[in-house]
Amino acid sequence: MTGLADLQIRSVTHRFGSTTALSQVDATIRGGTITGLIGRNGAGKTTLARLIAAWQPLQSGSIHLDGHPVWESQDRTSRVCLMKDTGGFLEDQPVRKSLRVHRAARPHWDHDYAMRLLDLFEVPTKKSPEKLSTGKRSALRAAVALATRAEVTILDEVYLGMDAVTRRMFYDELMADYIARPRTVILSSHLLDEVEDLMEEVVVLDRGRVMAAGDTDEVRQQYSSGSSLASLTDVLVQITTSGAER
Amino acid sequence: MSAMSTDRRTTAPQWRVATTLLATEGLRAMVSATAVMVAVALLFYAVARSLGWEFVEARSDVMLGVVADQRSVVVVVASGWLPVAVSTAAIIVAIVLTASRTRMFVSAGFTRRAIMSGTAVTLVLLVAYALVVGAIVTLVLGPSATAGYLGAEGAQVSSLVANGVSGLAFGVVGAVAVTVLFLRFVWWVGVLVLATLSLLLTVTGAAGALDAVSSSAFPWVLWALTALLACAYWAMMRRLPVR
Repeated sequence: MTGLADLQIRSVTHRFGSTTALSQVDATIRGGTITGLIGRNGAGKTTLARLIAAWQPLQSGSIHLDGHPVWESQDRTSRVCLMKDTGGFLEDQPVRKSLRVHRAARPHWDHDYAMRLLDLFEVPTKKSPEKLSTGKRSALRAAVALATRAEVTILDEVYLGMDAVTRRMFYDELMADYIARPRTVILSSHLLDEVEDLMEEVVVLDRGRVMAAGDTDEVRQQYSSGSSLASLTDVLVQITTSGAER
Repeated sequence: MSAMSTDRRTTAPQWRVATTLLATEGLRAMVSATAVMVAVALLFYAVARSLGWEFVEARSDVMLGVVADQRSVVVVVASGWLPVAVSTAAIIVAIVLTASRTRMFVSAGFTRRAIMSGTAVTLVLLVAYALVVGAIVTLVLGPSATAGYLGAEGAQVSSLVANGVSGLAFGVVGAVAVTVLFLRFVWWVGVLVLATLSLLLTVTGAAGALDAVSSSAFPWVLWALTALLACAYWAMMRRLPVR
């Protein structure tokens, strides 16, 4: 028991014009776990992440943290951090200016840790994000996400563009910090082989619907045949090609 | 949050934090812009003096000008241009701050309400700054000279100030509302709304009527329009998405 609040997602439906991105999504992200949000392109992962972080208003349904809606609640929005490939930075200003904003907005921001991570990932703070390489931009986002120490930290493909060594360093840092200071981490990634061992729980989305959810090993077990345990990629292949819900 | 080992800092309300960040940035930009304007003016003055150009007192319809012929160069400068330029800078700063900070602040965890409050206070400070610059120029030149430069001979300084403040408030709030229109909706919706509005104002002759009634005789018209724009800003910000 970590004492961290659960994230309750209830009956969330979201449309973009005639396209239904999420349909009656129900899920509970247990507090203090690393939960994988997985699915193919267009499954609705990013839309769900944006709704959780209140980047986008809900059309229907509810998302509660600690029993209260996240939307427009200062105490909730400051405790939920979404880091994805865009947003969250003043693109044409030196990195340190963006850090100043995060430092002011995030109640648990650890500036020394941020600077240590940026140093580790070799991200220059005098340059603007738009002048950094794709890999360095990703490293910057990862470092800031960790340094926010937000109770709910959502990492949506934040490691795209990082080289293998930086990714490994990031995973190590994530785990070390997670063990030292428990938080709820939501990982969304296509690099399933790399991150599936980190995921304690998983929510599998397909075409905007939750197809499987729960303890990662149990979900993998459900989709296993014979003696070998199915990987999350196997799970995803089975779900998205058969459309079977278990 | 009992298990979080990083101590939670005592944080001020978000609106106060957002206000501090926005106002600091806005006023810094205004001070820089004013410094550049004054420096350019002083440089211009020094060059004109060193070359022996003739200075002519500005008329109400000329803010800045250089007239040169084969025999002489005449420089026409009105010091009254500074408050006007600073007011223009305030509108530009309001646009830039809103465009660059709004979405970033939401993604950093600020509520939209906090950003709206911060923006409102910052706009008040921007208008106040322009007013202070105007007051300094008035003190330096004298009230009658300032009124003359602004083309309002005979007018009372108090009514000039009232008109200036209502005009600038309308300008900054309008600028922010238009900026948020483009943040809230896709670009073509913003273009469509602005085009429709300008077409309506032109066709119905409302633009001319508006200009007439918003003169010194009816200063409340501009304040009413400013309030209307502020409501539009609030309505759009309430559900502003971050892409």
